[in-house]
Formats: sequence, C-alpha cells, structure tokens
Amino acid sequence: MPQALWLLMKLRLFGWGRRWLRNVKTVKGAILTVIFGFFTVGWLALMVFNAILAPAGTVTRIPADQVNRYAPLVLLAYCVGMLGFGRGQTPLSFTLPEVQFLFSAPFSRRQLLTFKLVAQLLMTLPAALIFAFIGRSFAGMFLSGLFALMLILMFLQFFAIALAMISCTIEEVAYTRLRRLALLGVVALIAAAAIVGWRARAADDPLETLLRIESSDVFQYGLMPLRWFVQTMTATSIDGRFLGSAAGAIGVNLVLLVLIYALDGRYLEAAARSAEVRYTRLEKLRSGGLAGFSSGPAKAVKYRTPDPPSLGGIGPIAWRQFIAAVRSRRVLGVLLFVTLMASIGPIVAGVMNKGAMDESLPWILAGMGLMMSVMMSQTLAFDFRSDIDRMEVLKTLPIPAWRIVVGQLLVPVVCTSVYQIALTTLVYLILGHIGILLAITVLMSWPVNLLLLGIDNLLFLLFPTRMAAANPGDFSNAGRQMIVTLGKLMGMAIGVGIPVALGAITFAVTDNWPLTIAAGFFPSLVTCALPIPLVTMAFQRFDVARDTPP
Amino acid sequence: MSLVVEDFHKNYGDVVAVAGISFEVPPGTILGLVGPNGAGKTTTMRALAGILAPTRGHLAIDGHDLAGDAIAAKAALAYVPDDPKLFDQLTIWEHLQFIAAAYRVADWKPRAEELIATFELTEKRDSPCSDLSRGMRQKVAICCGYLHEPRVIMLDEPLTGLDPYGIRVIKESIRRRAAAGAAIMISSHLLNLVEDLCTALLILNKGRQVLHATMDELKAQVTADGRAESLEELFFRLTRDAPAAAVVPVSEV
Repeated sequence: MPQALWLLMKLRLFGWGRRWLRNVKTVKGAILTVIFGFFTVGWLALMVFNAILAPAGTVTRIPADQVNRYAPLVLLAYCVGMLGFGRGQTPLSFTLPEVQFLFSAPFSRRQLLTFKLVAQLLMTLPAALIFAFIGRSFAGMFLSGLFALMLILMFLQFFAIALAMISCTIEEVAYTRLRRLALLGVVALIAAAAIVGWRARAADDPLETLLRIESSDVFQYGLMPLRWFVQTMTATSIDGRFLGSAAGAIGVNLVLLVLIYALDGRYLEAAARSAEVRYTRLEKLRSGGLAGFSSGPAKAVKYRTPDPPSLGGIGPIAWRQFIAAVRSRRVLGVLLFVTLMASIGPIVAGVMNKGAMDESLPWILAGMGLMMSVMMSQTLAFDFRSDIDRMEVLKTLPIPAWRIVVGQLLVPVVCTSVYQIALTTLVYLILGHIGILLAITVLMSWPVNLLLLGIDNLLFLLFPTRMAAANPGDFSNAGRQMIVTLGKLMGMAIGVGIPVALGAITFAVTDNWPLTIAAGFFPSLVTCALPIPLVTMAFQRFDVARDTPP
Repeated sequence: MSLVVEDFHKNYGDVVAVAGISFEVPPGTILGLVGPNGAGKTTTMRALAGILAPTRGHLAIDGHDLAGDAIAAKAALAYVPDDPKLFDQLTIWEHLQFIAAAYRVADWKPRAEELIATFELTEKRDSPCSDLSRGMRQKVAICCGYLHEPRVIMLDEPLTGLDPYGIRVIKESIRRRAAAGAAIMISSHLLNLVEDLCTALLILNKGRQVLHATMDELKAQVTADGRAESLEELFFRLTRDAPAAAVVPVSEV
C-alpha cells in the first residue's frame, strides 16, 4: 500500500483526536464527555474484572461442547442470510471524500482495496477486544477468545465483500442466476440432510428429526470450516487442537481474501455509486433523524391534503409535521419491527411455560410495547429535532413561540399515544386480562407522552446536536444521550410521581375509584404540560448562528 | 493531445447517459462543456477521472490510455467535482500534505504556501475543513487540484459559492495554466463564464454531442452570416429548440 494512504489514515486518526479535544475544551462538551466517560469507564472496568480478574469459580461458563455445536449454526445462518438478502451491490464502503480524492488519484484498484481492507481490519481489533470481554463465558481462554473473535470478524467482512465482488464481476442477471443456483445448492444440502434425518427419525417428533439432520454427516462436513473458528475460541490451551483449528480458520479467511483480490475488477463504480447514496442518507439522517431519513417520497404524491386549520398558528405547524409523519412509512415499519422483536422473548417464554404465563403474558407484552414506544422517541422525532436546519424559518414565522412549540409537539404526542393505545387494545382483544391497563393507557398516554417528548425537545434545544454523530470520536454526543435518558427518568418521577401520589392519598382517604382517578388525572395534566413553557423559553433563546451544530 | 475521447458511451442499465461522444483537448486549450441538466457532462468528467468505467470507447489523458495505464493517466490529471467533499477531520494544510504524498510532489511546501496565499486561505490553513464555508471548500479542492501541476485539469462548476475575488483568482489561474500548456475542461451552466474564458466549446444534449468547435470558428461563422448571436442564444437554439439531439457542423451553426 502506498505511503500516501498510510499518511491519510494517520492524518484522519489525528483529526478525530483533534476534534474530540476541541469538544472537550468547551464547557458543554466537557460536561457531556465526563458523563459519558464516567459510565463507560465503569462499565469497561466491570467487564475487564469479570473477564480477567474475577476468581475462576465466580464466572459462569457455557460448556464448550454446546458452543462448538450451536455457534457454527449462527455463522451458517449469517452466510445464508447474506446470500439470500445481502445487498450485493456495495462491496466496500468508501466515503464521498474518499471517492473524490482517491479514485481520481494515481492509485491502482488493488491499492485502494488494500487500503480499505486494512482500515476495516484495524477497526476489527478494538471490536474484537470488547467482544472478547463480553463473550468471556463462551471462550476457553481470554486470549483464544480474542484471537478467534478477530478471525470471526474478519470472516464476516471477507464473506460479505467476496459475495459483493461476485455480484460486481458477473453481470446483474447472471448474478441473480448464480445466487439462485447457490441458494438451490444450500436448499439441496438441507434437503439431503433432511432425508438422512428423516430416514433415521425417532417417532414423529419434529424437534428430534431436526436434531438428526443437524447431526448427520453431510451437515457436519458442511459446517466444518465454520466450526474451526468456534473451536479456536473454545480451546483451553495452546495445543495441537488449537493450532489446527486456528490454521483452518486462517485458511478460510485466506481463501476469501484471494477470491476478493481475484474478483476486484469492477468494484470502483459500484462503490462510488453506493457512497453517494449513503452520503445522501446520512445527510438526511443528520438533518432530521429517522424522521428526516424516511421522509421525502421517491414517487410523486398522488393525493392532496386539505388546508390546515389556523388555530392561531398551531395548525399549520402541526399540519406540516403531520404530513411528514404520514409520508414516513419506514418509521412505522421500524416501530413495528422493534415491537415484534421485543415481544419474541415473552412469547417464547409463554409457550415454554404455559401455565404460569397465561395470566402474566398479556401484561408483559403490553408493558414491553409501551416501554419500547417510549424508548423509541428518536424514531418519532417529528418536532424540533427534525427541524435543526429549519430553525431560522421557524424563528421568522409570525406566530407566538409557545404556539410554535405546541404545534411542534402535537404530532409526535398524537402518533406515540395512538400507537400505544392501538397496541394495548390489540393485546387486550387477543389475550384479554389487561382492561385496567387499557383504560390507563387511553387516559394517561397523552399527558405522559407530552411530558417525555417535551423533555426530549427541551434538552435538544439546550444541548443541540445532530441526530447522527458525524464523528466516531464524538463522545459528547453519547454523553448527551445519557443526560436525555436521565432527564426523562427525572421528569417521569416528577410528572407522573406527583399525580400518582395524590391519587394514592385520595384512595387511602376516600376509598373511591372515580375520585382517585380524578385526583391523579387532573394534576397530571398540569405537571405533564410543564415542559411547554420551558421548551418555549429554550426555543426563544436558541441562537441559530451559535447553537446550530456543524 | 492532452485529452482524447473517442466514441465514449456510458449506460446505467437501460438508461443511456452518454451515447458516443468524441472530442480532443489539445494543450493550452480551455474547453467549455455545456449542456442542460442530464446532458452527460458530469458523467463524462467522472469517466475521464477514472471514477466511472466507460461502457464503450477510448479515453486517454496526456497520452496514457485510461483503461490500460490508469495510474500514469491519473497522475497527469486534476479533477475538481461540482460539490467537492473534503475530509472533515483534516486541515487545509493536511489535505495538501496528503495530495503531495499521493502524487509524489517533491518540495511541495513552498508551492502549497503560494496556493494557499493566492486563494486567501492562509488564516484558515490549520482549521479542520468541517469549519469552512462552501466557497472555501471549493478553493481548497482547487488548491489540491493545482498542487501537482497537472497536464490536464477538469473543473465541474468551478465558481459555485465563490466571492468576486475568488472568481477572479480562479479565472486568472485557469488562463495562466492554459498558457503554460495545460489542457483544461470546464463544465458550467454559466454561459458568460464559458464565453469569457474558453477557447473551445462542446455542447451536449441528452447524452449526445451537439456541437464541438473552437470559439474562433464559432465567432467567424456567426460573423460571416451577419448575425449577432450570443452564446446563450446559440445554446438555446441548439439544445431547446432542436427537435432531437444531433451533431451540428460548425458551418451550419
């Protein structure tokens, strides 16, 4: 690799450090970095202690034979997933400055490929170190775990790149055919294993049949290259077995590497194209978070919306955010996906332990759904957070500041509340049991969401930042996220705690439910609306020239 | 010839971006590349810069075939895109340091100092590029392009975001480099810039070459016909009023 590319790596590394130092030099940046550092150092110290210093008996280890058996299946699932669903058109991730400066500079294709691979591998080292600490219970030794994880991370990258190189080398149609053929090959392998398993099936238990397939010779030979990685990780000493597995894993990576260099003919154009697409997405993300990222339909809009009501200026502000929300179908998709993912655990637990979970499952599901929707306020940022580049326009509008604030908060509050009520209603209709939770959700979701989103916007206006960090060294952004979470918890404690306490006192004194609900509900309207004047003040003092983040 | 394009085609799937254009830019020539949006100007420049692979055709820079001897061709070239993206973490000086290493420029520091001073970037020399305005970023990209004294320079909309002083400096630098023997290609929608600066003109429309002539030939033709047609009027006549993109000989302009 030419000296110039090493120099570029060095300069960029120094640049990140310089930016981090510059952040720390400001009061806000220093506070946020210290907060982030405090939590992160504590977490890292705990991990290091558990991984290296904790007495042998205190760390729970997963038996090596279990890891050796199931971990290769996870790797296989990744490979099949990449083959079936991986986007084969983006072999290597170049940034737009890299495309503009490096592609037209006197570097060969292979030099650029090496530059990118080296950069990715250097990033693998710290990632492997962290995973080695986290995954200490899987590994035989810390060092074998670290080494194996480095090999595994390399394998994952090389496999994806090699697959993408194939798609770039062979024409689109041929690639699709090839992919179909490869998938057919995988299906044939599974079918062969299935037949073997079927022949040797025990009774009619499908689980037993699957286990037979998994233990068949065909399947086991197919898994062998992936098992080398796992056996390297679970080795308990540097012996012949460890060296053999490690040599096998290194061999697999080398084969992939040779394949990548052999097929590097046409990756530059695909990389340039994907860099542009990625840059556009990142800009949208930085400008408006997921809300901005997913807005802006590619096709012309086929319907027209009615004029918004004025409501003293609140109407047009809310209307604009409403339109953005309606046209952000991906946001709803992300929300549904995360909710479904969060529900898998309780559902599996419910199936495994049916008797005990019958009563509690609806509560768990509904509770998790509510919590996820609260945690995902980043996704529903149809408010000031998605308007960071439009603050000038908002400030010049002939509308009082508090009405702008109400208009901005209205849509995310409505979206989140409607989503939560719909989710709770669905769980109630399917599983029952949660009538009281449904009633509380219908009544309380609006003020509570107003409180939470108000705090989000207040902290955003006080500590403005882009919704996607521009710099990997931007620790102050991570510190800010921690402050937002703490602020929400404190806000919840005050905004919800006071009405709940009043309700509890009323119930204790009167033993009357309607009075209790009234005693809790009406004060909650006041406490949860408290952020509105605070956000208004923060909006008024927001200095577009000084506070707009780069 | 410093820059040779023969029968260049570029397709994106079924979409034809450029359909068989051919032209040459001799040393000392400033070629204006004009055309409506989607005419294929940027695609042509990006292919010449080695970023895009041509679907068909032959591209050569300073006598080096871009397909066969890409590194030698690129070493003789400077390409400044229409919206230059700099490495945000790097300072202006570090950009020049990297370019000097990439193009193996010996004794680059005095030249870099001179370029920075010429483009009024001295005060921002050690500032990260994330802090620079649009115009300053444009100037940095042009400084990077000039540092290795390229034989061929391609500038895509070079005046975007520049102040009047910056515009004058860039115009002068382009003229000076052309006079020193560099072949320069400028893509721009600013027809008065092209008329003022360029010595040759290439008009593209819908991926096809509509007109290629020197400015002297064009002026002579227009004067011979007794017309007083500006470049703007000519451009509209050839691109908007023409029913389909087809090559127009200079004698029929």
